[in-house]
Amino acid sequence: MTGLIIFLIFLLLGVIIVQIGRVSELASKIRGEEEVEQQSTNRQAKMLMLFLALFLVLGLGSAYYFKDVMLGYGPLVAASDHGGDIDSLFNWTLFFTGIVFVITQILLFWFSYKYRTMPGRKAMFQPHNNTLEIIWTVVPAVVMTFLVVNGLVVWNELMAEPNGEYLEIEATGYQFAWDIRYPGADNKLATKNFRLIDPATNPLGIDWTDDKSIDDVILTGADKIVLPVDTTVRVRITSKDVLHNFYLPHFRVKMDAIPGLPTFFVFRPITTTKEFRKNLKNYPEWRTPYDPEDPESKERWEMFDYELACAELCGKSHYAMRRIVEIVTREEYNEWMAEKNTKPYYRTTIRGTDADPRKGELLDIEKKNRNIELTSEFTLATESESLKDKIINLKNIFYETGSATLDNQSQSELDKLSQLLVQFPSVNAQIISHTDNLGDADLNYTLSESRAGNVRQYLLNKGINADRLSSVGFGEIQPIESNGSPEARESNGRTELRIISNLIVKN
Amino acid sequence: MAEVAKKYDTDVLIQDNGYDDHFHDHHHGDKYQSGFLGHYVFSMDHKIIARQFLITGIIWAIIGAAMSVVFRLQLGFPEESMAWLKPVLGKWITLNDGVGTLAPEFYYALVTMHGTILVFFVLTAGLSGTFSNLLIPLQCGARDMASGMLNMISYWLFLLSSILMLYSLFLETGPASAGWTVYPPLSVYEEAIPGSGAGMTMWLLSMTIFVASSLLGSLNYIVTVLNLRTKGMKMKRLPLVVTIYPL
Repeated sequence: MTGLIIFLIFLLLGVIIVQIGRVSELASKIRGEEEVEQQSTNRQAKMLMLFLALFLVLGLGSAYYFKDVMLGYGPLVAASDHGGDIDSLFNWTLFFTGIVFVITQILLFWFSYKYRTMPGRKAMFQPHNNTLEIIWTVVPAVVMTFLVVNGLVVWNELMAEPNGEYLEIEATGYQFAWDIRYPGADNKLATKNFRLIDPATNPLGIDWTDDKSIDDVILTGADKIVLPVDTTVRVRITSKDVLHNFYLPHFRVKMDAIPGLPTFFVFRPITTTKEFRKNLKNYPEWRTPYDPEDPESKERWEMFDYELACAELCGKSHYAMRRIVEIVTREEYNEWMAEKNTKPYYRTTIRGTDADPRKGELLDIEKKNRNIELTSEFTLATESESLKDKIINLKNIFYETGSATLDNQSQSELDKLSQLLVQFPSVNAQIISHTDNLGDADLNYTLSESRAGNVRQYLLNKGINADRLSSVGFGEIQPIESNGSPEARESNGRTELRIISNLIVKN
Repeated sequence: MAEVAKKYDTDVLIQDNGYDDHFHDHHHGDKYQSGFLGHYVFSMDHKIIARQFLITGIIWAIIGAAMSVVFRLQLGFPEESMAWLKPVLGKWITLNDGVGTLAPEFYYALVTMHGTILVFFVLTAGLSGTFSNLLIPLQCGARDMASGMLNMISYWLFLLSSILMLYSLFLETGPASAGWTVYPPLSVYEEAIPGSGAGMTMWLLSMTIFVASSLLGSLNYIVTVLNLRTKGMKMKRLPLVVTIYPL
C-alpha cells in the first residue's frame, strides 16, 4: 500500500512539473519570446551566483566542521614516525588544489553571470592566445613537479631498509584473516616455502629444517598484535591466495599483500594505545557513549584500538579481516613476548610429529628445561620422605634399538645427573632399568640389566664413587601402564633412579 | 551521385518543384534510396549512429545508477532492512530475523558491474561515442565520418557487447564480482568468489567485443580528423572538442 502511494506521489509530481512547463510556454508565447527569454536568462544567472555562494560556504564550511574525523586532523594525528610526512604531503596537495578549486568555481559561476546573454552583446571568438596557453601550462607543471618530487622523496624515505636495530615480523594474509609471525627469542624469522604449506599442520609453509624456526611464534585467529613503542618494526607482507593489503590507518602504513611477491613496510610507532586514548579524551565527540543504545556504556575514547584492516578487495569476508594492534611500552612488550615465547609454534604443534625433522634429537631449549626439571626432582627426592618421590624417571636416557648401548642423546641427562650427584655427595642411588613386553622375557631381563649397568658405568667414568651407585634391571615385570599401544610400550621401557640416602649397597 | 545530378538537371527541378531537389524523385528506383531499416536502424549516417550510442548509453546509465543506489543504501543505512528488494533481487538479499541485507558476494557484484558499466558503456560508448560521432564531422567540416560502414559496425558491436553484459547480470553464480579493476587472482578462481566463474567469462567476452567496437570508432575519429578536414581548417584551428576526442 505504501508503495502504491509513493508511486502515485511521484507520478503526480511529474504531472505537476509538466503542467508548469506548459503554462510557462503559453505565458512566453503571449508575452513575446524574447523578453521572456531575457528574464529567464537573468533569473538563471542570479540563481547561479546564489548557488556559488551556497556551494562554497556550505561545502567548505562543512568540510571544516567535520575535519576532526579525517586522518591527520584533530585527535587522529599519525601514531608513527613517518606518518607526519605523509600527512604533510596530503596537506600540500589540498592547499594547491584548494586554491585552484575555489578560484575556478568563483570564475565559473561569476563569468556565467557577468557574460550572460544581453541585448546587443556578442560573444567574443578567441581562436588562439599564446600567453594564456603558456601560463596555464607552466603553472600547473611547476606545481605538479613540486608535489610529485615531494612525494618521491617521502616514498624513498619510507621504503628504505632500516639501519640499526629493528624488530621484524611477518604478516600473511589469506581469505579471510591474517597470520602474524614473530621471530621469537633468536630475533630471526625462519625461511618459508609455499610448497611446504599443509593446511592442517603448517599453514604458512615454514621450513622446519631451518634452526630459526624452532622459536618462531605464530599468532593466528583474533589475537592482538602487540608491538613495542619507539621501535623500528619491519613487516614482511605476503598472501596465500588472492590480493590483500596490510593497512594500519593510524600509522599511515599501507602495502599490498601479493601472492608470490613478498613486500615489506618499515614503520616506527611513537604513541602507545594508552597515550592515544588520552589524547582522544580531549575531544567531545569521543566522549559520547560507545553503545548508542546504552548511555551507561563506556565512552568511545576508552574503547578505541588501533586496527589492522585489509584494504584490497579479496572476497566475501574482506570487511572482517580485522585485527587489533596494541602499542605498549618496552617492558610490557617484553612481558607479553616472554609469555608467547614459552609456546612457539614448532614446539607446541610440530615437535614429535611425523613432520618434525628433529625427531629423535633433543633441542637445546629442551635440554635446558629438562636440566631444570631434573634438578628440582632430584632435590625433592633427597628431601622427601615418601617413597614415591624418591624414584625419578630419567626421561632423556635413550639406548640404541634392541641394544644396551647408550645413545648420544642421553649425554645431557647423564651429565646433569653426575653434576647433581657431585652436588649432593651424601646421596647414594640405584639405577633401575625396565623394558616393555615385546620379545622374550629372559632376553628383556638381560637387556635391562646391561642397560642399567651401562648407565652406572658412564656415571663412574664421570668420577662418581663406585660405592655410591648400584644398578639393577627388572625386565618387563614392572610396567607402569598396560602394554597396549606403542606409546604405552615406550613409556614402559624406561630408566629410573632411586635415591637411597646414606645406605651403601654393594654390587 | 554524379550520374543522378546529370539525369535531373537543376533548372528543370527548380521549375517543377521550386527548389533543386535532387533526391526526392523516387519514380525510377533511385539506387541511393534507403528503406526504413537502412535509414533508421542500420544507418551509416554519423548523426543517427550518435543517437543510437546515446540511447544505449542512457539505458545503461539507468541500470548502473540503480546498482549504485542499491549498494549505497546498504552502506549508508546498515541497520535498515533491504528486504523490500527481495521480490526483485531474490536470493541476493539474505534475511536475518526479517532484516534483509545484501549478500556479500552481491555487494561485490554490484560495485564491479556499476564500475564496469559506467566507465565502459556509459562514459566511453554513451558519452564519448555519442559526442565524437556527432561533433567531429560537423566541427571539422567533413561530410561524414571516414568510413560510415566501420562506424555502423562499431555501434552494432557495442550493442552485441551490451547484450552479453546484460545477460551476465542474470547468471546463477552472479555477474563478474572481482571489482571493476578485475585484479587476479580474485578474478580468476571461482573458489575465491563465485562471480569469477561464468560471470567473469561473460564479462571478458563482452569486453573483447567492446574493445573491437571502440577500436573501430577510434580509428574512424582519427582518420576523419586527419584526412577529412575541410579546406582551410588547419589542425590549429580545430575546436578543442575535436582535438580531445580522438585522444
